[in-house]
Amino acid sequence: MNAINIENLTKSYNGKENVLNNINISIPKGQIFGFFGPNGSGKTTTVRILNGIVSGNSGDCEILGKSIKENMNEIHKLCGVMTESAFCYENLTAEENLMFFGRMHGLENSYLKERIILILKRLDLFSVKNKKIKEFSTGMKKRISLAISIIHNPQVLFLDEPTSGLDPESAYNVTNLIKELAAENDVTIFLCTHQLKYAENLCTLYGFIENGNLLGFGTFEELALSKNATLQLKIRGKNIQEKLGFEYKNNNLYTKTISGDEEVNSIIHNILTNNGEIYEVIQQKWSLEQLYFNYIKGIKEV
Amino acid sequence: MNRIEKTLILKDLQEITGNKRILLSMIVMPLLMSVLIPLVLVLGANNIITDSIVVGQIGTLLNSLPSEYMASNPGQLMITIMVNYMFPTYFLIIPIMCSSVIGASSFVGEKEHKTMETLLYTPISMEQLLRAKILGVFISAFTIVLCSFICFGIIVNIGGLMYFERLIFPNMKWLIIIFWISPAITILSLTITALVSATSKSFQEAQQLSGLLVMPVFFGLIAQMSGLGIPSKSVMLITGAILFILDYILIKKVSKIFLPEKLVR
Repeated sequence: MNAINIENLTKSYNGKENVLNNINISIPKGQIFGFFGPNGSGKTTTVRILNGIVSGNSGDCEILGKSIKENMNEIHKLCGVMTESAFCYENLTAEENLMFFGRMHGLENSYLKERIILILKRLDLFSVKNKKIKEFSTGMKKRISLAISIIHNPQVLFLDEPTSGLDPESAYNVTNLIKELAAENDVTIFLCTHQLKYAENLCTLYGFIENGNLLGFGTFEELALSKNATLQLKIRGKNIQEKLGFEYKNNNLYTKTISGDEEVNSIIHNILTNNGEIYEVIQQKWSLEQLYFNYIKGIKEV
Repeated sequence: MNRIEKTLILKDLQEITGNKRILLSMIVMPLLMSVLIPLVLVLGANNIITDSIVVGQIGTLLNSLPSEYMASNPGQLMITIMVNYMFPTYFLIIPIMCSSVIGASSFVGEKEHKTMETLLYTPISMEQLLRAKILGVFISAFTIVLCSFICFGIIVNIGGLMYFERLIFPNMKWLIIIFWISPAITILSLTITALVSATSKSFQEAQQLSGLLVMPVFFGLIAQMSGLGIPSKSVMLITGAILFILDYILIKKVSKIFLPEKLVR
């Protein structure tokens, strides 16, 4: 069973322009799906529709086989949501906020108290549990929002920019926590972010969206293949001849497009037999950033 | 009411008591209207009523009083004017002010502080959410009305003992005001605040708009000061009933516009 199913989803707020245009996405359980696109491309609207607080104009959406339109409360029990537009109560302490949202999810007090301690410790917020949220830094606010989104052990977690505004250490910790959550509890994660660097090491499935149009969806390899993404062989060395097909960049760095592992052995052999010197060899795939810009740039050229 | 609704009501009460701005506006005005002004009037009743300046100001009222009042001494006259003419309207202003301040905080505050969306992601239906919000505001506002009523009652009875040598408060009309008209007007004010909150972007805007409801009551106050006094019991009961019908219609209207999509945009 897929954790998330979106079929032919279309949404317009004003009846004239579509903010989402015939979106189709299927995410199997346990996957970490990265949803990428510029501001205003439709990511947050998609998250809101999947959680039933905005309704689509046409199409069907399901979470773990349950239709969103018919099972809104059930969906909210299954899903945790952290978005940039959903805050917690600034005049309440971290612990009070978690108690409140835990009770709203129907958790029993004794279990909730244990769970709060566990989550606060894991997010490095235990020492500030009695501080009001208004006294928190941006990073701490992000972490408490994440804590609220996972208080009820959701099976599907929607995260909208979970690492923006965080210092590198916090961002690393949050990224690790997301990874651990997905691995330990088989949580499916729907991640919207601009921070491609963090997402690259995290996601197992990717989607690119611009102006409400889904430009690409699949694994990294599938997406790279459909864009004919090449593999680059990078060699740092000396006296590498042009006839071997290398392009000289700078500082003794040469690059060549290759098809795969099988080519590398013969290339190195040829360099060495032609009196070339090799200090370092790297096979480099496209980065997520390259792939993202290729997809977004592609639509701009149409 | 289920556990989720109770949780939301308790959170709202916790937020209200933790917010100095709201707390202050909820304490100062009722304190002034139900304790300080009555205390000054009761303690200085004999002097106030004979003071030429004050007599000049409430002369119209004194002239329009029923003839039996003329036999009263100045202290008794002052207490009678307080109970029958001045303060009934004050006790309509208190629930309006309180429910519009608390309501604006409860409804628009959630929107303004972007907590409404987080709330909408919890397993609470829109019907439960609206019911909990209305109840939370009503409980807070009506508690203040009751506390003000008790304080006012004690002060009036001190005046009663001083000038009439007996307890004189509350009478049936006051009980109708507090337990029939005041709840109806509290609900009216908070439903109007909820209606306004669907379009307002800030706490102040919602509070100002819903505060306009106080205007008809001010006209009522002026009318009373001109000698109209408290209407008869039957008129008050009918007025309360009309207000409750109006409340019902407005709650139905609010529930139609109280949609997640409108609240998060």
